[in-house]
Amino acid sequence: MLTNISSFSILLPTIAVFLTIWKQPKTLKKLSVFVLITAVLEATASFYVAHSINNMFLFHIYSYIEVIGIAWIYWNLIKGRLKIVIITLVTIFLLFSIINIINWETLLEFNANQRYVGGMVITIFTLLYFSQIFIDAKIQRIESDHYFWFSSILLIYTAGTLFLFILGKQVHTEDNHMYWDLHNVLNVLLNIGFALTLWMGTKKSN
Amino acid sequence: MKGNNEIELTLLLGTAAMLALALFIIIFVAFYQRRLYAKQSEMNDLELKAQRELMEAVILAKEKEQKRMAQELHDGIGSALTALKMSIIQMNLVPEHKKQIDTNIKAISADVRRISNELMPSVLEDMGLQAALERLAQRIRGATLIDCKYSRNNALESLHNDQSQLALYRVVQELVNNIIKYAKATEILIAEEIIEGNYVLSISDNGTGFEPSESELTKLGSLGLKNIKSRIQQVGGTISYKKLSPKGTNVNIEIRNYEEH
Repeated sequence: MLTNISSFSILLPTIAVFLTIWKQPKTLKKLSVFVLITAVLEATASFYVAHSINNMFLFHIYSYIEVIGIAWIYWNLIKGRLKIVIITLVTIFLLFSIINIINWETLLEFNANQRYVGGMVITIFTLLYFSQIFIDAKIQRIESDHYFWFSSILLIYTAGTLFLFILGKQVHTEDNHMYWDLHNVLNVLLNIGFALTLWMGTKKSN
Repeated sequence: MKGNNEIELTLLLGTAAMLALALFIIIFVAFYQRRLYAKQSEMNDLELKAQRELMEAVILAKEKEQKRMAQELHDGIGSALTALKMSIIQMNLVPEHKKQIDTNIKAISADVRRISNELMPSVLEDMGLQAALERLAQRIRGATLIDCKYSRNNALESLHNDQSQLALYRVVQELVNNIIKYAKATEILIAEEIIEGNYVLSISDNGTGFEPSESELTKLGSLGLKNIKSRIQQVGGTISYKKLSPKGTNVNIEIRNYEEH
């Protein structure tokens, strides 16, 4: 049940994309592309599960898209020298991913290590954005800044899934339901956050 | 089974701890940013206040200097020209030459009076804002092809103190000069009235139309507009520009609760 809700929760930001697409500024357009690719991957993963085919390689692909896509969004949000941090972190992530596939987790295995590192990278992006909020001190009402909510929900997701991915291998092999339940709840929250960001962002630019 | 439970517990506790940390960071960012913004706003306000005070001091010094120059021109050069005229009368010169010199001295005297008057209109000091505005409109009608009208409201006589009169006069002078220079207008109307206890001075024209944005009003380049804003702030008023349709501009200077001043 929770798995289905989690899978279908991507529909929320997808609907938000189609409802707001004409009013979106550049950065939200990037988020829309990311949401649509995620929706396609989610649908493909569900199809593979329904036909009992190993879909682990899709998790590997998603990890690349997640980190690169979110870095692409933060490229617009983070200014000046801090952009170097984005390039460095993405490079480290890509290098680690290649080493990970060769040495530890093949495309047919769950990519816990890669997702753990990806999560850390995204956490740093969100913290960079928060630090920039402090440096600029331009936002009058932070609760009306949709990128604050976007970063907050990403931080909650990456913080919440950190232990899941650290213990991913052991839990997954033992077929633990709690692992997936926790991940599903966080995934639903993340998708609600994306939908909220798109909605708030376009409402603000009206 | 025991191992499984341990992993579950670690997973739950770890996730809970991480979520708590994330929430703490988010709440901290929200609160700290609010404080930081308030502090930043306070600093900006202080900076603006200092800028305003500086501008006021500059205006005050300029007025003082203009007054001194006007007096110098009137008393110094004016008296010297009168003395020169008297000397020439006593000289043994050909009558045509005398007449020619007399005409020239009269022209120079008129120029000196005009410049002195522009620097510090004596009519403003002697007869007040309304008479000065009337004289200004008259002068513009005489010197340009613009039909400048001032709709005098006698009920507003001696409403302003000296400082306000000078500030309002200078603003109207600057605005009218801008209209002459840039607006390609053929008519200017200056009017004063009291609306719901607020004093409103409006300057309208039928020119090309002008409505500066907030950034244009504050940017360094438009010193004239900044001066106007500063002078109006000095008397506790506000100024608004409105582009009229199909053409023209209306500038409203409003001083709230003026009767209480």
